[in-house]
Amino acid sequence: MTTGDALVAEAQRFATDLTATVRAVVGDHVEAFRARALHHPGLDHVSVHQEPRTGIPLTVAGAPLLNLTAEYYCVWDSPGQFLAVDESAVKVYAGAKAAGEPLFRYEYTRATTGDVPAAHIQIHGHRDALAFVMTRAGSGSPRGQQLAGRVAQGAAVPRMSDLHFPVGGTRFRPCLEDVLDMLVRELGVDHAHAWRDALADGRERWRRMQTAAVVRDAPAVAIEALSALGYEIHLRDDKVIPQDNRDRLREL
Amino acid sequence: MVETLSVEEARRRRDEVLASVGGNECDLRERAARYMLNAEELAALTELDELDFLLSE
Repeated sequence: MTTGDALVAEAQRFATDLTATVRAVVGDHVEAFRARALHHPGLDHVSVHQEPRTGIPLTVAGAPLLNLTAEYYCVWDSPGQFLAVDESAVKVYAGAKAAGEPLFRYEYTRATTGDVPAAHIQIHGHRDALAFVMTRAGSGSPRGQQLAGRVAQGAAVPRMSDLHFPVGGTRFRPCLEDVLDMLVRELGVDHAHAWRDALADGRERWRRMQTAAVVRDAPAVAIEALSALGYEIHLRDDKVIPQDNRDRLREL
Repeated sequence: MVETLSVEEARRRRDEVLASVGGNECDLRERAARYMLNAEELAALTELDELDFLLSE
């Protein structure tokens, strides 16, 4: 299998998983997620997105009150073994189509700059007390300076959506199943009969995959935990002791 | 379900998408920053961003 074939296969698998997750909640009428792959020497990128492009309508008591969009940009991970999400955005809008300003969004950027958490939630709402505090944001942080500068110039009124609430970093970030689960439980979105088990299955898949990634980040911790369970673990003679990925463990 | 694009096809598609919403990308992005896009415009902008990612541009 060529790199290009593997890329297409991985994109297909990812799109199929996302489609199954959303259909398990919203119903089989939901269009399948679509993937696009661009394979070029030194450039292997994949995108996966919902259909239609204007978002997936979500109903409450039969009325289309909300709309969901989900976009994933993927690349090969560093060893070139797995398709890794480079950026993702799951957004929820009011109304039958995604337009204007979202209500809230879950976003992830793998190559975070440090000022903004890799995985974060932004809430598009307003509260006077929070806006007041944000107008006082200043010298303490680059983001605060940026915001204070815009406010001082009269260029912007602080918005709650300017805040990036961290949600666990690269490894422990929420998955699409968590967002759908919240929409059903908290906002009463109409759902298929077996939604709960389907979301739990998807969440388990996600967390098992992330567990493997975390083990690669901190192998000594994994050995310690497995040893406490009674395992004996030995590194093969031809292997070098892997180092912790401390950057990943410490990132916001 | 997987659409495989060449660089040329991705660039051509980008031109088509931009033309479908009037061809003024600066205006589109400026109105997006103010959350003033309708559903079709927002969908188009999302696709432009997607194509830029695929093209690494």
